[in-house]
Amino acid sequence: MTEESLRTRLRTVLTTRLGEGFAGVPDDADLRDALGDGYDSLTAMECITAVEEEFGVEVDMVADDVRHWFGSVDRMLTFVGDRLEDAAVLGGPR
Amino acid sequence: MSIDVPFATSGTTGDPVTWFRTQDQLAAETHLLAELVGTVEQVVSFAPPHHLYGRLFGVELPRLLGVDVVPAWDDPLTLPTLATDVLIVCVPSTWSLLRRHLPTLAERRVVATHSTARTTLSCYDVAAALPGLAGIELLGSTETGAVATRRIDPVERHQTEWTLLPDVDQVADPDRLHVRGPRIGRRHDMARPPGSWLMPDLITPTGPRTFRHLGRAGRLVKVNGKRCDLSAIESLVRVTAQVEVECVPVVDQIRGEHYDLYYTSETLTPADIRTRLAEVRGDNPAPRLVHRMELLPSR
Repeated sequence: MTEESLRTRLRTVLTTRLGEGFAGVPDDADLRDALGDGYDSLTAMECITAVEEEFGVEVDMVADDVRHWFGSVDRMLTFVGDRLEDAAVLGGPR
Repeated sequence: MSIDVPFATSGTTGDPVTWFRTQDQLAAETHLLAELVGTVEQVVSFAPPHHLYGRLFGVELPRLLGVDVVPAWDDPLTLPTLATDVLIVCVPSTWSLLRRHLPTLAERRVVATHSTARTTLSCYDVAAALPGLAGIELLGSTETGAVATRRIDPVERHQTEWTLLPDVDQVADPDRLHVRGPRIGRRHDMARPPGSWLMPDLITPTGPRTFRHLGRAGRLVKVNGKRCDLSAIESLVRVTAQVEVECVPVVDQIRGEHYDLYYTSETLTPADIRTRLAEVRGDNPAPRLVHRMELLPSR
């Protein structure tokens, strides 16, 4: 999967949850700053769950620094890309 | 002299209202809850203590049982270290977190309480995955305290019958939960507690002290347990943004209940609406989604 297709899938998943207000948010923007109360900690949890389901990755809410990795689209892309790469190496990609 | 304890609520019209409970009322309710919960060595509370549910389970009950309490209400994404025998005081969003920690929970004897809003699918997933879990759901309000209870049943789910608590009686009313008992609070403008209280909950009686819950009258939703009157939100948006607006309740698998906000405007973006509402909504929850429409859903 190319980075661009990964980005497109990720933005589609996030748009479903964050609504049309997310469309104009740049990939490198801090989502809490850009969306205000539209991206509180529970919304972040919903996005984490949605990303897990879409890409077949698992997020450890204790070991992974979710506030960092799920703070912007770019960081989510890095996180998901790394997890998919790891899964491919271990022979279990989705 | 006993000092009454204040609890703020949004009331049923969206305006802030303070209800007072006597120390005796808090003590009576705590003893009732202690009987339901049984013996534990630790309480982990995700319910903020300035609300009645959090105060009872996160302050009064641990004091009565003489056990440690771990405050977890400020961080809904993290499960604290659990003792072997633990009571977890849940709000709707807690169940999504618990579902991620099933192996940890399976190694412990867990009692979990749920109150303040509709249970979520995650709640039933956890109950199904942990047959040893003692799940207790409570129905109540700031005005009345807890009035009824039922077990969290992953098969019957929302159809499970409620049973009134021993000190609560239902006033003859076939459709609404209308209760009387010694734990009804006193509103700030009342000299004494009312003799009975009509709750917004719609019910079907199934026995002298049992009923099924059908829903809620009016336009009140409870977003992760926090009351929110949709008519009040609409009024705020009309005033602050000068737009036509409509709020629609939605089922939310993290928070139990939520609402989406629809509006019409040629100039204001959803972000503009959020910003303007944030300036005036006070303690009311922000909308889940904000949609700009050409026509409102009901038109």
